[in-house]
Amino acid sequence: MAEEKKDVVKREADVPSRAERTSSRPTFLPAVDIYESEKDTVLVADMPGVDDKSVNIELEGGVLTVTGEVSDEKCEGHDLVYAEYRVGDYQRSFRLADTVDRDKIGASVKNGVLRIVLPKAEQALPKKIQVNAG
Amino acid sequence: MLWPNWDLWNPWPEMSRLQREMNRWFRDYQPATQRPQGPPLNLWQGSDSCAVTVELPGVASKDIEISVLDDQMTIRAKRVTESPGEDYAAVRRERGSGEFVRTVQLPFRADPNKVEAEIKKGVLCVKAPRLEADKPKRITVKT
Repeated sequence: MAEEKKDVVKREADVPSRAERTSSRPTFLPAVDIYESEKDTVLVADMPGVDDKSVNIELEGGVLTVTGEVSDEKCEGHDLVYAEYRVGDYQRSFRLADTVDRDKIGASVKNGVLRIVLPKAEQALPKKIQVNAG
Repeated sequence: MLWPNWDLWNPWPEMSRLQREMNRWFRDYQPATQRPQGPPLNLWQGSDSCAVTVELPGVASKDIEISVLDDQMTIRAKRVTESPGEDYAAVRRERGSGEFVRTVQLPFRADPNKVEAEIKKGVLCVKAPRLEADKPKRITVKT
């Protein structure tokens, strides 16, 4: 069952234990929707401030890591007087199932939303088995 | 027998102070339903203009309505998160969707004819210059 969350506050990303971040900018976990069909899995992540040049997707050992770099929000000649959200980079990792065809993963970014399509491998697709009479 | 010396320590002002503090705490406490709805925004101020930024990923510019009246700016936006197709089942849904309305009090009266809004990479930035009539006038002091 999919649960719907209505969080408006960005969640800080976890840091692997025994390691600290070197930069003072915060890193957030992007909110993600995951949809699955028979043929592929689609992952949609909210990453405002990120375009196709500043996003980085890496696949290592079955773990898909998505990183988005956001340049500091700045309005020329203006000072920040009231802030309800902070600006920072995005990072989130997912463990992929074995059924994903690693070579055909596709991704696109539009309006700060990242979409990753993970096709399922051929062997994982259900095959119809012909039943012969006699 | 020693009578208590009220000059040293009197419990009554202490208790009434505690009562006042409790009253203040209950009055200021805002339950979750009263928290502002919708995405958070940042407010920037310059010498002659101010700017409001809101993170609205995936929202097209035609789904955003901005109106300005004196020193109040109202932002209305609608976001739809739809599944990629009919045969897709949602496994996880963390992204919110729906309509939201937010009214911001600007630090001064803005000129509605000169307000500029731009959405780039999913971040909406609305710049509102100050109304000419609202700018303070310098008064020269005669000697």
